[in-house]
Amino acid sequence: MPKYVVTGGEDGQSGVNFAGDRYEPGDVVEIAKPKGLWLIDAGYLALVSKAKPAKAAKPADDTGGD
Amino acid sequence: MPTFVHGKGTAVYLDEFEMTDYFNSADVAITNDTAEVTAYGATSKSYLLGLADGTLSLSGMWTADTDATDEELHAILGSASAANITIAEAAGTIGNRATIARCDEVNYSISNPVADVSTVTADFQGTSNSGALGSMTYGVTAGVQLSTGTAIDYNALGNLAGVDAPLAASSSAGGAGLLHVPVNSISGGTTTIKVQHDSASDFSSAADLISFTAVGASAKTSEMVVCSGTVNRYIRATASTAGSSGSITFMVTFARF
Repeated sequence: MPKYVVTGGEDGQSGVNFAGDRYEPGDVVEIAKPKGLWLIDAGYLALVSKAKPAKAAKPADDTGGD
Repeated sequence: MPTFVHGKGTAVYLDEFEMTDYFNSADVAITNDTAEVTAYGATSKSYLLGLADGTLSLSGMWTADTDATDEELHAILGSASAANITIAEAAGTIGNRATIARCDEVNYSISNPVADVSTVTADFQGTSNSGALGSMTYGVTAGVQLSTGTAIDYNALGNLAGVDAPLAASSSAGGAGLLHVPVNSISGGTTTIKVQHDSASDFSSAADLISFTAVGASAKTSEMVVCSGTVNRYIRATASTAGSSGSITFMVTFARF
């Protein structure tokens, strides 16, 4: 699966929630079907091969359910 | 049949204080100047659209209580820091509308009639020139409530309900998030409150749109944060804490530009 790094967005601080897990800037996310994913189009995720992650992949705890 | 809203359900937040119990009137006026460009030979007037503007007027009961009308309305008159104000219509339901404002207080009046209760009136001028918020487009604008303004225990914080965009589509000109924390008894760590956005209603691929400054243990605070660029269709507030006891009451509103 392609690996993407969380870029942090425009301010560099934006984490993402994906498939039930929480990822902070620098974390790496494996995405099975990246095509059309808005997080990639909007620049929140970038291919690892094109950006250096700050730390290894490790999803943080999600903040909970609705 | 239209869904009308009664004014009695309005809530008012002024910086880190909820002032709902003190006010009984909250008026908002949003205007847009026009410049006349009518020339000879015209049979009707023509105008160019000019600058947007906004004002607020709050009135209610005078009291010398701590953190209440007289103390707080006096404190912000002439303050170099503009006040953060939320007027939440039909407050208490996520998705209901709100007016969010970054304002300078320009008038504070007290009335003491011999045969009636003492009252206050405060007038505010919205300002887009808000220091660190220099990119804020409007001083007074319409937004949406992303929290209910009720207390949440430290161990029950999480993702609040999502809100769809008014036109069921993303927007592209950024926005402003406004946080008020009037009550906070969480101890043992800070509380983080964010606004997230997503193209999916289930927030299965959400990203942080706005991260407010971490709220200190037992701290009351207020903060407006602006963002630029695309705001996806669905937005929600989310909160987490490193604290180990207590609860927090916060109101988050967001306006798309």
